[in-house]
Amino acid sequence: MEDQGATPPNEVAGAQQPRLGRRSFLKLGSVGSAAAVLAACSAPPAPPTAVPPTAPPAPTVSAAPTPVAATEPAPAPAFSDVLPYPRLKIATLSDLQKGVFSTTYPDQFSPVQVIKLGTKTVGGVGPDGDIVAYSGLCTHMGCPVSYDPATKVFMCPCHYSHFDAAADAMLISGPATQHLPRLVLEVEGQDIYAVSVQGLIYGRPHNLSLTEL
Amino acid sequence: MPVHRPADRLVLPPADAEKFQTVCHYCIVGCGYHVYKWPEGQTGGLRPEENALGVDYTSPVAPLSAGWIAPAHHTVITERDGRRFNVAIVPDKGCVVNKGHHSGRGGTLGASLYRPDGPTGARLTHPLVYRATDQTTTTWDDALDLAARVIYGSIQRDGNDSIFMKIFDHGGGGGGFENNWAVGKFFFQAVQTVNCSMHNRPAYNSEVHASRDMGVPELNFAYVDAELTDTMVLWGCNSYETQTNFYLVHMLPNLQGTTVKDKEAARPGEQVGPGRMIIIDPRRTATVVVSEQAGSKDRVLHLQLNPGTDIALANALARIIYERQWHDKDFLANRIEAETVQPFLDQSLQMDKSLDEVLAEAERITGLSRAQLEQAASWIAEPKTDGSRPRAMFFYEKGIIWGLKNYQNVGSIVNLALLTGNFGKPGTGCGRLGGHQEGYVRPGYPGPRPAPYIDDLLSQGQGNVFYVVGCNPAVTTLNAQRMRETLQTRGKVVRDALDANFAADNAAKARAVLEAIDQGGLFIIVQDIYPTQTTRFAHVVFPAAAWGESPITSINGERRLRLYEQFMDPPGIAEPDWKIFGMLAQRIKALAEADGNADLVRRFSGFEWQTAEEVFLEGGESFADGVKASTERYKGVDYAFLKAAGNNGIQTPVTIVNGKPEGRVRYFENGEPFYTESGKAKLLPTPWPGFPAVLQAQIDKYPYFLTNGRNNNWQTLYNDIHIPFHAERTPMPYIEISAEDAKKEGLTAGDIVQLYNDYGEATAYTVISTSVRPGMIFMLFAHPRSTTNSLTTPYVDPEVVIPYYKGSAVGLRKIGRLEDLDARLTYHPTNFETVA
Ligand code: SF4
Ligand code: FES
Repeated sequence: MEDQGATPPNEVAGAQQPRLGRRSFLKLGSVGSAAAVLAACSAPPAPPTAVPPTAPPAPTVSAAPTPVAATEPAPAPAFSDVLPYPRLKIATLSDLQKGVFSTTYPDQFSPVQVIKLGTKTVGGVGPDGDIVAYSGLCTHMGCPVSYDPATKVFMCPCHYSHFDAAADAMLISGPATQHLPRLVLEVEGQDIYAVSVQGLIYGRPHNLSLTEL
Repeated sequence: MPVHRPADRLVLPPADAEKFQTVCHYCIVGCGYHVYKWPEGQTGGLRPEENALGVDYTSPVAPLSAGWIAPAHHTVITERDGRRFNVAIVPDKGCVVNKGHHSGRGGTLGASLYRPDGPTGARLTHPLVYRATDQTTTTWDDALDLAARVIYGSIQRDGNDSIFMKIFDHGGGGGGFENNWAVGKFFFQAVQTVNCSMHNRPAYNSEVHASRDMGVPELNFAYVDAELTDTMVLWGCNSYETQTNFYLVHMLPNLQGTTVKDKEAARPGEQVGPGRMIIIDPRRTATVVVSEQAGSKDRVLHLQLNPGTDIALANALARIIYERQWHDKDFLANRIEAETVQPFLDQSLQMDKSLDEVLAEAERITGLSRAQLEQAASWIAEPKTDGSRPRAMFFYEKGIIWGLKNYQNVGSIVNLALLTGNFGKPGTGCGRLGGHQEGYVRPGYPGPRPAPYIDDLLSQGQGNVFYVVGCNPAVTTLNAQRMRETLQTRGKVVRDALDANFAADNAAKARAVLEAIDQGGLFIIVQDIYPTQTTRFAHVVFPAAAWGESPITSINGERRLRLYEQFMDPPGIAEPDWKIFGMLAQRIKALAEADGNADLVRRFSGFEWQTAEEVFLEGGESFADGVKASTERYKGVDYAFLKAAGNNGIQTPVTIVNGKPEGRVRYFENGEPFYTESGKAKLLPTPWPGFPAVLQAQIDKYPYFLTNGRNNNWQTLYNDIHIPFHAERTPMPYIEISAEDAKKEGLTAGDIVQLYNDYGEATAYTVISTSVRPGMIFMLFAHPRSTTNSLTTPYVDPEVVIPYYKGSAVGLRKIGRLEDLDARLTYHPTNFETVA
């Protein structure tokens, strides 16, 4: 399983990774009343129809999110280089009979697509080593991407960024500037667990910014 | 091997972060951006009042809201004094050009910045001189002194024209009004050589001489016009990939019908609806596929013509329009020089032949059907049911400019726009889309037209000094293999002389260099931001500042002039180009003074600039006043004005009205005269010329027609190969080949192939694509690891000395596989049509 070894050669890891400041850590514990936002955001990803780039895509996060109540900040957790991702069951092997299964991780604002590619791939899990999962939000401007099992390609209907699911969700072409974030998976019996995310999910300053920590 | 992914978190700019205005320096579109800079170790908070963006990060940033900082927008820089700062470069929602959008190029501006601890640490930081067997780091004084002595000695001994140059002439990164003025003043006023060439071509010329000769400055429309027109004609341009935000933010909404209300407002009383698009390209590009998917197929017409037959197509469309009386009769009568009409009718429209004869010939030449020709002509010019004329816009770029014959290629399209009266109203215009931005201001070029073909002259042994700035001719010029051989063999004669004189002082070295030049040597000076395929041949290398490291000004494709602020130090002791020319001129002047050479003292005077704005203002003074303003005229504007004008700037040419600078949205409104002596436009006779013999010989000898183009990487990838996200996707160039030809050649996606012809060879990996028809191969243009230009012929349009980069012919040999690429790359074609 590959890990954060995705750091490019020549880059000094410590300099590359922005440090999470104390103030934003305080905020990690303060998103306590997001239920309304959450309800608006757990819709499945968009169907693969064209959406004018100027119009918001069908299922979106709420345009006017519920303001967060000003609560007492929770005590700051100790600094760590690893975000405390939850280990969550996101699918079972039988969910993947159609080749793709939509769910969310690490929170319900973050759609993800779990895919059984049919051919073994680097970092793939499951009995055939071919199960992978990626963020379902386009890294360009956050529209939900749609997946075509025939070509194994993700397409964003807003400005047509395309990502190759069989090549680690690498951008094929389009205005996005990051490949789709990838979930690190583990399989236990029939159950597929997500344990972390590589890359930054669209729309957040860090992947757990909406998680109760 | 997994792809590069950034960290799963980033830092936000605190509310008090420093904020700068700037414009993306890559493509012609010129999208507005904001730069935030704050000390490393600090971060803003999630609440809108706690971060400089004013964005509420306590909930997910909404899609399409342009409030999110993507990881590639961000980096950590180190200033000269060692202090480290976060920098985030985010698209500006308030800029009317991009409205908060970024392309894959602009979205990685942050990642492209110099940081000594990352891949961009490869930047040139200090001057280099060739000493014994290698290029050695040295001081400015030392490197400037050697270069000055050789230039001075060469001018004195062999004359001004012994100095050759190939230098940017554009706006944006590596250019801008400041640097262009300095280059022009140095070579035209001080050196006074005719042996000059632009960064991407072998002579000193315009890429659109025809349009200008016809009285039509090429940047005559505004981007909003693409929202207001009925029919967009994209001719030899792949705008989705290469003018991305003009396409996504202005053209596509029209195609999708979301600008109908704006059209109604701008064109009251006219019948309007969703726009149509005609795409003329021998390839089925991403622009074709996306337009068909995003708009609707019945409003997109792709004319997949045979390569090199654009003139025949333009003439046929004009003939149909004229035959059906769909041309603009008032416009023809009042705004076009009457004496230019008949030669046009005779030679372009072939009025001596019947319509059927002409269209049958056009079908044969272009490979298109008569029905397609008729449909395109109708979309451009057939009056609507209410009797109103449709409005059309004609956009062209490298498929035309670098097509078979530049002069008539461009002229035949301008003919169509004139015939249909598509100037001077909202939703009309005809011009190039552009590659780089523009920013030309220089004293007059002293050479003739057509200008000398300096690549040829260099390869024939002419020229003493070759001064290359901000370009990479070893990769990008035509017949590039010949250029590399010239640099290699002639450069070696000088290297040998420097090797033999390793202990000498610069005066003795310069004498040895001049002797070596007599033996066929060439002294090579290269000024750039990174080591390139051309710097490796250099005897002196000057490190230049890049975008953001010195202020510049430029205009975009709709002439929008803006200030690109400096927000960081150049690396090492690198300096902006204008300053380097200033220092070099002062050194040459000192040599002339010591010699008592009054003429050269005078010519090399006036280079003591201290600030970029001084250079900008000095250049501005060179613009003439009057009605027929040169496109770039910015006289009367200073940095303070531009700072206040922000990322929407002002559209040139600028006129001072009541002491205030005023711009203009589009040309030729309210009867503004065309740019000819008569004030009327000229039609141009444009017979289709057929292929030149030098190219036909390759076509007859080799099985595949070779064309080329860009993807959404920038230019020679000079920045991109230092940005992991871009570099890993295109580690070497690729070809696109049809499934049929791939089968014939036994190729599968990813196979490494060698292309070859009489002029050179190139190596690439295989992508199987619907973009090309059988018999044609496409290769990515100007990749530094193997260049398609080694395969282009030396042919240029003799009228203007512009190459036919887009056409050659090649044989193909399968070499094998690079196994690691299979685990690293996607072989899906960039036009998104997966071939089963
Ligand atoms: S469209 Fe052009 S100017 Fe705009 S962000 Fe992209 S490269 Fe930069
Ligand atoms: S949101 Fe723009 S391509 Fe996906």
